[in-house]
Amino acid sequence: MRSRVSGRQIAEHALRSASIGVLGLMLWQSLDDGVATSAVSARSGRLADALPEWTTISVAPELIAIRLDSAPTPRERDWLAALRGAGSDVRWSGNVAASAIAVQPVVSPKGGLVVMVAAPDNAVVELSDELGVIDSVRAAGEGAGFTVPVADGVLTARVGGTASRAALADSVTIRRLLVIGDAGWESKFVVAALEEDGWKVDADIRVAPGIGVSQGATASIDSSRYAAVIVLDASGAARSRQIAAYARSGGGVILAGRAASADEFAELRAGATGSEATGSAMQTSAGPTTLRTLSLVPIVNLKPDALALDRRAALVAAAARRHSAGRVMQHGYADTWRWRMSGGGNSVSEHRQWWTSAVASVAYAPRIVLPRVDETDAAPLAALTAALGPATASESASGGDGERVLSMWWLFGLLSVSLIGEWASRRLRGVR
Amino acid sequence: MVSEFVFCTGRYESGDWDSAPTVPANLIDSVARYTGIDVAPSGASISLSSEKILDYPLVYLTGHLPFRFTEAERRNVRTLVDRGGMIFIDDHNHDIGGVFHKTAMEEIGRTFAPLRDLPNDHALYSCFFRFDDGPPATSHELNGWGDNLVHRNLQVVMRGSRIGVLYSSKDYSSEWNYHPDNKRFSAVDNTRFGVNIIVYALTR
Repeated sequence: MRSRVSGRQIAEHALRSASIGVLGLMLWQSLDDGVATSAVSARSGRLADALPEWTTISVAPELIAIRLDSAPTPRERDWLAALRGAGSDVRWSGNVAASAIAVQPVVSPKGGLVVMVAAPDNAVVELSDELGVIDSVRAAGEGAGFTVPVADGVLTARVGGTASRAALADSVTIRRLLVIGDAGWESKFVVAALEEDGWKVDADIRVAPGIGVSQGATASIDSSRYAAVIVLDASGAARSRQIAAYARSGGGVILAGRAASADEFAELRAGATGSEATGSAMQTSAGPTTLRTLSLVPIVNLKPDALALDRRAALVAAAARRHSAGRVMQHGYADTWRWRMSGGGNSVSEHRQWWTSAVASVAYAPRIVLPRVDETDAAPLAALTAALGPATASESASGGDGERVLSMWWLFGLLSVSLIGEWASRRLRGVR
Repeated sequence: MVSEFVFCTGRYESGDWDSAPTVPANLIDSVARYTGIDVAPSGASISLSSEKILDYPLVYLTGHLPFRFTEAERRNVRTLVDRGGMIFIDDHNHDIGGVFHKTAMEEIGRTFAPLRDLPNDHALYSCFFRFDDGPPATSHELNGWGDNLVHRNLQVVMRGSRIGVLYSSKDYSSEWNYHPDNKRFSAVDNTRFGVNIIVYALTR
């Protein structure tokens, strides 16, 4: 009987000792939170709360591991970079969409913005400004492009959970255009299309040798006056030296249709001109005239520095090259007026839009820097990589806040069981 | 394909659209004679009810008889003018009391808008040859034929800053309706104003 009581007392001692030991362990752990944390981790959703904790503990964590399913905000990213600068080894892992946004002004009197978003193939890209969602598209290839007539403030492109933000950094000064051509429907309707789109157009239209119909002061071709010069046919050859000098000084030149055939434009053009292919030769179907059914003077023997912009089957329809500081676009579409007059219901606006886009692609437009907007983050993944290095294969910190909380619960349970067991044993044998 | 100007006479169903058959050849001759415009040696006569008319942004219409468009004709000429083309209509009767003039006024008003006088200092009168007094008078006006009036102005329907419809009561169709070879008998070529109409249409 004595041995039984003695064994029970030993057990009670053991339970009491265990309770004291657990209490001691819990006390050590709670003190250790402020003294000796070596590795911490968090996921995207907890990052905002975790950063102040990691920053305010007395000794900086040796390792900070974060697992991201979206890019951190610039504030969070900078905070992590600061922790890294303070000596912590900051690592990140996860699947952050590789997206970026760029905003450019459209060189057009109507203004507008071109927004280009880099995004993974087939990802949904949602574009919004400070007033709300503007549009959403599915990325094809390496991203998506938007033309936005007007936007308010910072533009945001969301791809998955990642938001890229950018604002227009500069605006452009729009100057006049000069159209040079023979009297004919092409001259008339190119001038009309550009004027309808808001361009101020000077025209030098040759009606007879030595006789022209001029609109505006066309004597001097200078980049201080003109954003671009459009040469519609060989009538511009007489001014080819002026036009080449204008291009060298930064001006934009379009050599349209048969204009590039003139030898005087050999220096400027993107390539030589081939034999004209008519609509029937292109095996186009009957019906309203479109850009694709127009006669084409193909560009052949492209210069090494020329870039093909548009092709029709195997033929190069449009190409561009730099000429010193200027840009030259050569296209082989002849008689685009037929598209406007004989095309479908929207042919007038399509013809107008096509011409203004062509002009915008070469136009000389001095930039005016706009006030800087700070709340931008044009390429979050690139910025994250620059700040913290590339992603690691996986979250490398083990344990972490969650596991510590869990172990405290286990210790508390063990403490409770020990104390209740020891107390119950004593009461059952009649000892207080 | 050579991009050349083709003079187009519009065929309409209601009247005698071909009442001045040598006007096209005469004007083509003048354009070739005085300008460097690449002009086709022969004109074309195209039905206004055919969408083919849209390939000809300048259309000449004349006649003596009632002038009415069918629905298809009305739709096509309206499209042509809205897209930047120009229609030149000349009253071959030279008579503002005549049936052509009266019906043409109604039809133009119905299809486009009411006509209004074109100022005589408009670019039409100076874009190639200069006509300081506005539209040149025709021999029919000076001889007192038709309505016995010398019409001081041409009339127009504007589209923006350009002429969409040009209407003449001066009977240029009679004035210019002769073989081009006979110009050598004239001290002053009376088709010069026709050249201005074509140059204006091609450049404005």
